[in-house]
Amino acid sequence: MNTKPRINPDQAHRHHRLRVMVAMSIYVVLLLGCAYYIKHGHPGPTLTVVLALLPTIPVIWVMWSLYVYLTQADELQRRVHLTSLSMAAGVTAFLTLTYGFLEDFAGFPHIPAWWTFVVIDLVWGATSCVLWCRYK
Amino acid sequence: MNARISPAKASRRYQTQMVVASVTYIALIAGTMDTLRAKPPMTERVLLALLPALPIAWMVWAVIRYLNSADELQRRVHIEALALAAGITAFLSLTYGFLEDMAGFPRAPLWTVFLVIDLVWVASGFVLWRRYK
Repeated sequence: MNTKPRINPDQAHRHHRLRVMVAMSIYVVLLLGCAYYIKHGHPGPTLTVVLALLPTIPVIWVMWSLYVYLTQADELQRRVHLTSLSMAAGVTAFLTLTYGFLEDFAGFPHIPAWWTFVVIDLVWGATSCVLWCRYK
Repeated sequence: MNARISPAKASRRYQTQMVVASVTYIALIAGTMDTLRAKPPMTERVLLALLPALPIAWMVWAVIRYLNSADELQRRVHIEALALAAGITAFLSLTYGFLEDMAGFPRAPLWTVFLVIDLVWVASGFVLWRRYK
């Protein structure tokens, strides 16, 4: 990761927060709009796929923003985020495999795929809180 | 993160643990499969389905221990690769989740998420490693 800060870390954090807020507002509007149209507008199969994929565009923006932020953040912020993200990967990998077994072999109900996104975000948020408190 | 053993030794110990855990995992899957196919009572089924998760927990723990005693570059590469794996998997699962819910795509079994995380981790670890070399 290229880690040459071109702006100061506080400014980078503010930019990131602003971008995430704008992106998430677009996301909510797109998600509600697309879900409504798919349910009531009865679009063709191609249009349905396009509409289902549309809300992921602001999510790409959020991820890009996170990447830019991590290259401009200070060493501690970067360390906390990278460590907590990698913990999120590990914990999520374990949880999905465990629940996958229960789903396949013990007949537990299927969980929609987007739940993985929620789990990754929750573990990331929780571990970065813990790490942040520890380093302070 | 203070290393109590040398990075080379940590790497060897990690490899041994991973091999033993993988073998245990395969043995447990193979061993419980027949019993599970016979549809035993619910409690037994849940316990048997959870058994193979034990060596996986061991693997996660082995990775954490390895990263604690690895050298700075190895740690950096792995942590960045794992962070990328979390980000990319989060994005892919959200995307496929929408296709599942709204466009009627077939349901993906949850263990595919495990596969995706591992594949992205290995692939990005490889790319980062070559970049730093």
